[in-house]
This record gives sequence, C-alpha cells and structure tokens, in this order.
Amino acid sequence: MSEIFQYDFMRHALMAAVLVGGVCSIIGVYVVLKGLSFIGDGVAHASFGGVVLGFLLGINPLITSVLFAFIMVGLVSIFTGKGKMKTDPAIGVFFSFMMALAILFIGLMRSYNAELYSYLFGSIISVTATDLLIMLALGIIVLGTVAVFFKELLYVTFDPEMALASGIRAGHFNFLILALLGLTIVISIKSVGMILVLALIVIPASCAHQLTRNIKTMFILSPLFGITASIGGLCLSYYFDLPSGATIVIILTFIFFLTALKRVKG
Amino acid sequence: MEPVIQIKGLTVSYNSEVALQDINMEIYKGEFVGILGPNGSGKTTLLKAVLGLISPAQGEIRLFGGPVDAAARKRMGYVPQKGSIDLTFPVKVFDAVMMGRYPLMGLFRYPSRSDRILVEEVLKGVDAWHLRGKPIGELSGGEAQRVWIARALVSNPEILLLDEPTTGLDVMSQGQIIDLIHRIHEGKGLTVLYVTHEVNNVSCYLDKVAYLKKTLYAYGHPNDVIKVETLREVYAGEVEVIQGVDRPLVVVGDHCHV
Ligand SMILES: Nc1ncnc2c1ncn2[C@@H]1O[C@H](COP(=O)(O)OP(=O)(O)OP(=O)(O)O)[C@@H](O)[C@H]1O
Ligand SMILES: [Mg+2]
Repeated sequence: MSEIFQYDFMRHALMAAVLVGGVCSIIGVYVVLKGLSFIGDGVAHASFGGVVLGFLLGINPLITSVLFAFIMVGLVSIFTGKGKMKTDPAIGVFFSFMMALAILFIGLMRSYNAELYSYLFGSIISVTATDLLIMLALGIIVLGTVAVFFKELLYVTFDPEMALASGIRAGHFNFLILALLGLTIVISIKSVGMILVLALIVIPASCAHQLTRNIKTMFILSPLFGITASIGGLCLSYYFDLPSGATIVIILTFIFFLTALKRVKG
Repeated sequence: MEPVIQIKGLTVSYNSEVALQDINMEIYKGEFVGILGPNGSGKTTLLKAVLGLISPAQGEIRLFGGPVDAAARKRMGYVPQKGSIDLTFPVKVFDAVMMGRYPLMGLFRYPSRSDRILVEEVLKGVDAWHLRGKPIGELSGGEAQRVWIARALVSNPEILLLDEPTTGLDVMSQGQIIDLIHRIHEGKGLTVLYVTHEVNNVSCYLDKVAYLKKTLYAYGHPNDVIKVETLREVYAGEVEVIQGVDRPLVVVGDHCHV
C-alpha cells in the first residue's frame, strides 16, 4: 500500500484525509449533541458561495469561503438572538440566499470552471500544498480553541441555561461553536465537497454516540471513525478510481450501520 | 445589614405580556425563603430574573450589593424546574456534577484532585454517591433531583435557588429532599430561595414566605403570612388555614362533600 504514497499529490491527499477526518469528527460531537445539522448544511452552502466568489475575483477560494461561512453564522445568530426568531426558519432563509448568491456568481463567471466541480463534489487528490497549509492553520485554530475552552463548550452544549446561570458566558460560546463549525466546513470543502461535508461531520459522532454514554469516549471514538474512513476512502478511491468524497461517506455509513447493531440503550 | 438579594420595583414581561409587576423584596444572608403561588404566577420568572437569565423591563436587582453579572452568578447555585435538562446527553452523574465546578476553574484547567474530592463529598451529602457511574438518562426522578442539587452545591454557593425540587417525588423522597436542604441551610448558613407548591412540608423551616401572583401579595414570617384571606385571594378558591400544633397549615377546600 505504501507505494501509492510515493506521489506528492497522494501524500498531500493523505495529510488532508487525516486533517479533515480528525477536525470534522471532533466538531461533529458538538453538532450531533446540540442538533446543529441544518445550520451545518447552511454554512456548507454559504462557503460554496464564497468559493465561487473567490474564483470570480481571482483570489484563493478558501479565504472567501471563510468570509461567507462567517456571514451565514452571523446572520443566523443575529436573527435568532434573544428569541427573536426560531432557528429553523432563519437558517432556511439564509441558506437559500447564500445558494442564490453562489448561482448568481456562477452565472457571472461566463465560462466553465472545472475546479468548481471539486468544491461541489470533493476531490481530495486535487488538494495542493498551499491548500494544505491553509487547512492546517485553520485546523490548529479549531482544535486549539476546543482544547482551551473544552469545559465551557461542553457545559454550553449540555445545558446552556445552567451554564449561563452559573457564570459562563453562554451566548459567546454558542457563537464560538458555530464559528468553529464554519471553519471546519471551510477546511473540508475541497476534499469532500459542499454536498457531502455534513456527512463527515455528523456520521462519525453519531457512530460514537451509538456506542457510548460517556462524552469523553465520544471524543476519542468519533475521530477514530472519521480518520479511518477518510484514509480508507482515499485508498479505495485511488485503486478503483472512484470519487473520494462519496467513497469516504459510504464507508462512514457502513460503520454507522455496524455501530447501530451494537448500540447502547438509553 | 445589607440584603444579599435586593429586588426593587421589578417588572418582567415576555413579549409585552407582564409576568411580574413591581416586586419589592429584600432577602438577607442566611434566610430560608419560600416562594409560593399558583401555576403561571411568576415564581420561575422571579428566580430567572435574580440569576439574570431574563432582564427586567423595569426596576433593578442587586446581588451581594452589586449588579447581576457573571461574577455574582458564580456565587449562586440553581436547580431549575424539571424538564429543562437533556437527559439523552452522554454524561455520567459524576461528570455532570463536576460541571458545577467548571465556571470556577481557569481556562485550560482540568478537574483537580480537590475538585474530585468536592464532588465526592457533595454526592455523598445528597446520598447519591452510589449513582456516580450512571448515565444521567437512567436515573429516577428523585435520584435525578439529588444529582441536580449536588451540581448546584458543588460550587460552594452563598445563595441557593431551588425551583420545585420535590415536585413529582413520593412523600418519603419529598421529606428527604426537604431535610437535606434544611441541613445544608443550617450547616452552611446558606441563603435559600425555595419555590414550591407544598407549603406545609417546609413552613416549619422557613424564615419567610412570599405569595406571588404577578405581584407580591404577601411577604413575611410564615405565621403572619399564611392567612386564609391571603390564600383565598392568591388562589381564588376555597382554601382553609387550620392551626397546627406550632404553625398554620393550609388545606384545600373540601371537594369531597359538596
Ligand atoms: N418563555 C416564555 N415566553 C412567554 N411567556 C412565558 C415564558 N415563560 C413564562 N411565561 C409566562 O409568564 C408567566 C409566569 O410564568 P412562570 O413560569 O414564572 O410561572 P410559575 O409561577 O413558575 O408557574 P409554575 O408553578 O407552573 O411553574 C406565565 O403566565 C407564563 O405563561
Ligand atoms: Mg415554575
């Protein structure tokens, strides 16, 4: 198996797989326990809008996609703050708006751009050294923030009202979780694609949730599943010439079925 | 002496609907205060306003002589009314109680030996140490209530706010929880705000009773406040007060022989 990593692009792809698999599955624990799938999907669509804008303006699409992810998170937070509006319709409104922007930008490009395709469906072998560097920097920010605020994020995820009542700034940390989710999606969008990125976030943590009623164990099992599936998917997609993002997600879904068989009660 | 909780002209509303109107109360250090009133009378709202979870439309609350802020919240323990906790969350009793200490630990700090010892002491104190390894979703109502009381106590609060901690428990468990709170109150000189519907169970321990129904109908020593006129007004029904051995007892109008 080692001979496939003699190529630069495969070494980059392997590093991307570990990074994306790891970061997505850690943030996924919060997403699963807090029920943030829909906003995750909204942010993925928004980042894609950012990617298209990046191509349109000729700047690195990862930079514009960070911007768009934050705009999405910001808009939803502003409109749902202090119980002004339910989260679900707020996401629905801006989800569509962001997608409309993406389609508008594609229309403005006037020429077919094959690279856009990889942001839509994911192409882990097209990750470049520069992409990897940006991904690594963002990944360190995400995991570092989780490490520093682990307790606060955990309490806010479990019981936001009690966290606030006991002196934790719950509003700030709720926003921080969304911001970290946004960065995670940006890190992953080129490797697995806008359409499938949510799977890489939600499935590993859901597998872990099937097996344990201990949050700490979830934080170990989830990345284990996420990284294994990413590397496995990468190798399979190379040998059988399959789309990498889809292969990873299908492996994850298999793991999900297996863990469902061993599910703990409660 | 300055009150630890001072409520001045407090009005709270949800979207334009007034839940509390012009409440004035002073609660002093070490007092055990019962808060009573019918469903929807604003008891939970009062506790939430004291914690700063809802901001007042008018008036002001001062805690420990200062504003309601994160620093003041770290000196208070809260046991919310049942139903607000996600019982499917994957956390064991020990770790759930440990969360009560999180706000007091610094960033990047993980629970130390002394944190663990405190959790152990508190769990033993509420008679729930044997439950430490159980997922919170697998507790009975009374067991869960002990655990949430433990979580509120583990931060060594100076004020304890309890929202119907005995509702839904059997008679014996109710007694145990009330005795537990009484012991903590006595032992640590804690200030306690205790929301309940069952005044007879606690009135012997209470320093003061507040009757709420949007406004504060009566506030004072149980013997002065638990009066048939007050209760009939607050509950708008046939309530009787009979004189027990040492204190007044509230009984609901005789439904059986009408
Ligand atoms: N989140 C909310 N939004 C709108 N109205 C609310 C909200 N919470 C409470 N209310 C209203 O405010 C009033 C007071 O409610 P509160 O929960 O404080 O009553 P309570 O005395 O605790 O009642 P119970 O004994 O049933 O617990 C009620 O009329 C209630 O309908
Ligand atoms: Mg209530």
